[in-house]
Amino acid sequence: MEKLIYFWKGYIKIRIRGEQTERFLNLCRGRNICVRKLLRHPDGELTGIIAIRDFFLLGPLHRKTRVRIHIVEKHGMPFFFYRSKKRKAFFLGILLWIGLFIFLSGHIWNIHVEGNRRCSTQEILDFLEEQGVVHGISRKKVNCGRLAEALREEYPEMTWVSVKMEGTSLSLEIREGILSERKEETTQNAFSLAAEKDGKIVKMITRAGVPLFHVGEVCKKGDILVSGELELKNDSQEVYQYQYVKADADIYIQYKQAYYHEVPLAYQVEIFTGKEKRGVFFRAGNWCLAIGEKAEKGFERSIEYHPFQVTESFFLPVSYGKIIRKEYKKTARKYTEQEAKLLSWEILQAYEKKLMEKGVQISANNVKIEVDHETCISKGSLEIIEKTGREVPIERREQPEERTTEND
Amino acid sequence: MKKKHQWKENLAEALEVPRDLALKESVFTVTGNSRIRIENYRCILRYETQELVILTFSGKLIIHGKSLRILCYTPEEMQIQGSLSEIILEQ
Repeated sequence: MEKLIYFWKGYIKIRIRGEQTERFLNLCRGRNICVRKLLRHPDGELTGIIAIRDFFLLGPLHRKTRVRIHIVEKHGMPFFFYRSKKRKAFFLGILLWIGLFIFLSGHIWNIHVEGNRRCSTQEILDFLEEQGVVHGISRKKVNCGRLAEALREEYPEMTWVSVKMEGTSLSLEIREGILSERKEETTQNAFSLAAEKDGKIVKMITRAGVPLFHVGEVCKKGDILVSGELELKNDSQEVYQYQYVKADADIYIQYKQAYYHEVPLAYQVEIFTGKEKRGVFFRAGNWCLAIGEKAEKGFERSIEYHPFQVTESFFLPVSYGKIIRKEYKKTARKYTEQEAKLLSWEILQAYEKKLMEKGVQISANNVKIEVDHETCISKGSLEIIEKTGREVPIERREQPEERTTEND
Repeated sequence: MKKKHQWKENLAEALEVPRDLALKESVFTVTGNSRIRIENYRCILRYETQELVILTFSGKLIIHGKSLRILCYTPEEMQIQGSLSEIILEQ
């Protein structure tokens, strides 16, 4: 610590020559002048370290004891600044660095989102951008409480949101819950369920409404399957009131879907020759500089893209990358009968898988795969069981007049 | 005079005041054979590379050694570094 203070205030190394060096030292002590690292040399000289302030008090002592004092070395900040007075750019650089440091530490440079499963991080970042919270925003402009509130309003599935600032990082901690469906009033939203396709009803479970079709019956597109209109009848089986509900039922219909696919036996395959051409590119915003990028036929081009990333979610609009072009040659080939059938079967399987991902069941597969001279044709039909029931509004009828004994 | 000094000594002992504070007695702290710290001294009488003579309140302190160097030299204390070979206290 003492060394640091000495360095800050500045110190000098002096050489003392004369007859009365001991007296000189005693006088220094008497005047509270601190001399450090005193060393007697064989030639009788004395060297020591003294603070700048104390050096100016040595005048009377030097006259009294008649010793000669020489400055040997100068150290410390005052001398450094004096020596560096011509190096303006250096000090300007230090000032700029301090300014930059203060500026950078006053802004948000990283936005960390965790705990999100349904909403993607990019989606949340886009929403934050709409709210004005972007990378580089001043820390003072971020209101964590308001931001958490806005997030909860925008995404109802978020049950708990915590927004906190840690240094230059904005941390969002999210908990997502199960969204409860809103119960709608049935009286205002009365619907019937209509068929979306032609088909045969194979299963029907009605929870609300009156079923107009039954299992085994064939319906056409647009037919009302479950009506939301309830007829309330009295003891004499006369309708005395119509009530309207939102029809609710699980209705499954079976229908045939035609399938046709052709695979030509002759095809072209790309074979790489092993020859490669490499290039690089540098991109800043919309401006792009590419070296070794030439449009040539017979080359497959792949690009390795490296964006400059400051933090985990902060990407600068600057990127660089490698361009690799591989030479290939097209060769004509022909599938064998077995290969063509296998390929057609795989295509059919993929189509069925895609249908099943949509939530339909395939009850029967009547597709035949045949190979002629040039093509492999898969044709036939698939029997599909699919859930149906499109909500259609109900035309409300006038309520029947109340019948009294007088009317009879 | 001797009586007065005796009275001071008795008082310092009764009050449990350290003797170096009450009677200005010198304190010598020797660390190994390379360093010595002297508190409550009066002045330097002679300073050579192999000999250092210091006047204390209780007499002369003569330090013999090699490459004797005064690390810190303030009104209160003095620190000496070097290869110490002999320390003599003369009354």
